[in-house]
Amino acid sequence: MSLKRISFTTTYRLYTCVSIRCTHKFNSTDSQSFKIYTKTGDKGTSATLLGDRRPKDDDIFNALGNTDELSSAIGLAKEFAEDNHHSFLNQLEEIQCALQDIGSNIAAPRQLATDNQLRSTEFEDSRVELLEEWIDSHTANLPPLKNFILPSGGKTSSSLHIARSICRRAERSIVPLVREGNVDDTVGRYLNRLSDYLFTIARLSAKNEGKTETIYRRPRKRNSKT
Amino acid sequence: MSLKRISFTTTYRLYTCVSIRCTHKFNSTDSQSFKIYTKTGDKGMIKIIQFKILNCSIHQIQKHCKKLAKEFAEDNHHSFLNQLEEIQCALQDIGSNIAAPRQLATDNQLRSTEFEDSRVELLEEWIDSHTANLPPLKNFILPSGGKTSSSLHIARSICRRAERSIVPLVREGNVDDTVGRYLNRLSDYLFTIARLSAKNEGKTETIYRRPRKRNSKT
Repeated sequence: MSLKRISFTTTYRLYTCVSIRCTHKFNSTDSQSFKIYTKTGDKGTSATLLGDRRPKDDDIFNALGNTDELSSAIGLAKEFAEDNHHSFLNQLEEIQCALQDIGSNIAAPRQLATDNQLRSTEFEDSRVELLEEWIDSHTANLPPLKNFILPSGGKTSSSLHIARSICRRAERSIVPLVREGNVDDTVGRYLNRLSDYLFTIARLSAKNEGKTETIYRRPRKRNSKT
Repeated sequence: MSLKRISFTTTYRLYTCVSIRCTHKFNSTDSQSFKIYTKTGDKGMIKIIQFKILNCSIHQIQKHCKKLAKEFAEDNHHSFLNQLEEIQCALQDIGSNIAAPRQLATDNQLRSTEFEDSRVELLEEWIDSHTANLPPLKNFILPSGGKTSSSLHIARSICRRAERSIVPLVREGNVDDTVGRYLNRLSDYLFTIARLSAKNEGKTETIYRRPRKRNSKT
């Protein structure tokens, strides 16, 4: 199986539990023969894109899982954003596609991959630059930040804050893999920039929907035992 | 305290942070004496019946997300609502299995917290039944397809995180391997009904697209 074929099905499986065997069934017109469950993971292991099986609590699957969770959170935020006709919907879709490519990069450990595999799963720096352009463009439509804003500001904004916090968890889980040279450092940069992007469009959503964001307030002094 | 009483309150506490001490307060008519917080979990640790230390946040989160998905599913009159409720009950039983480490439990405790394989088979029947109502999968779908579908994708991704967290416990023999199989199958089920929700609500799912080549610094 070519890496492209493996990449598609294995990445899909890594994300959504569809087996490599399902590649053959993708072209089947008989939905009754198609089984989404393969039971190959029942013993607690899964395979990377390079074909080696590891326990599911390996750092690679932790990082992949966090990336998947981030894409899912963005999926729900996108639904609220669509209800409110926000302008950044296409950007969110492009980000979900980028997260898929990040998954391929994670699932093909750089220290073990062949030159071909490295090339086909490389994550390019130009995608970080694109995020920065988007952030700058949206920031130009926002008032300067003068207070510490708490996650709030309507359903779109709040769901984007959730995505932002998951993004930071995904980034943390990538850090050791980048450090050991098994994930491109462009991936770490992208996730770092992505949480800034999500924060920016959370603010933009609140503003465009006319919602008030909650501002942090220091706690009032309280007498103990009253 | 009998095992049944412990199971109820401890499992409840593991899920909702109600102390074992609150068993006494469940019968109280004075809601003002009832405190849901006990502070015994403040350092991230919660005692279970065998005094082993576990973190329950994953199951709490999963239950929360399943509940959210169920709310959207109910809004859209989906047919699988009862199945989601049954799954939430199964997760409660999974919690009991986790909270009674198999290596330390007595025979009675093992029997009363066993997680049966028949529940995995039931999930498979549900998956097969729903899949029969779906077109063959031909593209790489990204989490999308309406609020029900999107929230089910969130639950699916958290399910996989829950499964990853179970793996070392199964490996050391402290959680039944049926639990690992159930969670593995559950993410397949959640994926399937996410697709079904999108189809039945007439929503379009986002398809993965390869990136366009971009010149840097343009």
